[in-house]
Amino acid sequence: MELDDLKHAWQTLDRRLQQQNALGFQLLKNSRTDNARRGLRPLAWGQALQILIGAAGMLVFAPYWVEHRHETALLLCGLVLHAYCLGLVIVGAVVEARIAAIDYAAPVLAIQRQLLALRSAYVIGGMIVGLPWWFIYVPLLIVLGDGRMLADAPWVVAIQLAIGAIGLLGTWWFHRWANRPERAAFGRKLDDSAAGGSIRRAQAALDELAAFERD
Amino acid sequence: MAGVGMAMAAQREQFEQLLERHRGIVLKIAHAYCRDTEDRRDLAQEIAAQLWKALPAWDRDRPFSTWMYRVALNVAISHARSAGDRQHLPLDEAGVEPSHDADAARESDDGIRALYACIERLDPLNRALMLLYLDERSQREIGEILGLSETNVATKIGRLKTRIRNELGE
Repeated sequence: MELDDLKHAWQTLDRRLQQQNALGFQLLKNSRTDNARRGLRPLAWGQALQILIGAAGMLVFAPYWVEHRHETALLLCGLVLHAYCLGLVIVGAVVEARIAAIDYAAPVLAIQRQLLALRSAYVIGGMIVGLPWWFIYVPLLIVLGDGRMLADAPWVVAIQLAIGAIGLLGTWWFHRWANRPERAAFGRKLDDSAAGGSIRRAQAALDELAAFERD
Repeated sequence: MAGVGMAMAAQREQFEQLLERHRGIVLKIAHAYCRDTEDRRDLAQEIAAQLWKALPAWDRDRPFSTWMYRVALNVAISHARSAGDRQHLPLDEAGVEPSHDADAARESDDGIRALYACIERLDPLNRALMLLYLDERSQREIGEILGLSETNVATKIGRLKTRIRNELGE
């Protein structure tokens, strides 16, 4: 078989498809067939919810730190929580903006790069939002208790912060340990359970895209 | 208000005519990226929906088919990536009905089988390149569709041909 035979087979397939009309074109009659966008919809809603939570958090914490502006510890706690909520809004807005910018009429390589970048941004954004919880619960508990924990048992705060630091370091170390070449299969399983394998798949697809452009 | 409705209806009618004229592109892409009939139908619907949505952005001074290829391939590649590996089905189940002329049918079915086998071995991007090459699109048009320079397209097609020749020779 030669390349010309493949071209001939392609033309045969084309002719048969034209006659067959197996797919039918009732497609346009159904305006709900926007699966590509629908696939991104849960992501968009999730980010919208995150933005709302962030905005609500800022509305709650801004008056708190303003009210306690003369008490350094409480001011700091309020500011940290306010900053975290601002982070929620920013990360959500970045992902929303990337979703809105997707234009399927752009050249194939450009749009595929955009889609993969969106996937990476979502997963990395998730880590940015999730990992601070090793620490963020401490100022949250202080604010919820209106500073009583800080006044009554400051050593508890110190222990919580130490646990947070150990937890964060442990997460980083475990991730490195699990992703060593000799434990590649375990590392992949771990990544899959943590992020649905999204980072790895997005990275693999980006590498494939780069190789296609380069070769 | 009625004027807007009429303009919309006219636009839709024009789009349906264009889609009907170039439906082969959608069908071939759906066949190149999906082997399961239901999956193929979903992809074709998705492509049509995206084409309709993107229509206002179509520059009418440029060929509809080039623009259509862009949208359709983008949707197909994303579909392939999100769905993972497609099911591999025998030809008869893959939705291509055999022709009634037995000898000619056997010969062309073998050809189509070989074509599918060849396409299946390619990643989604090279599959797009191969599809455009088999469709005898010019290198300039392929470049416009994929977002590559003409020189780059020529190099890639050369490599793809060598690869396919080697595979066919095995």
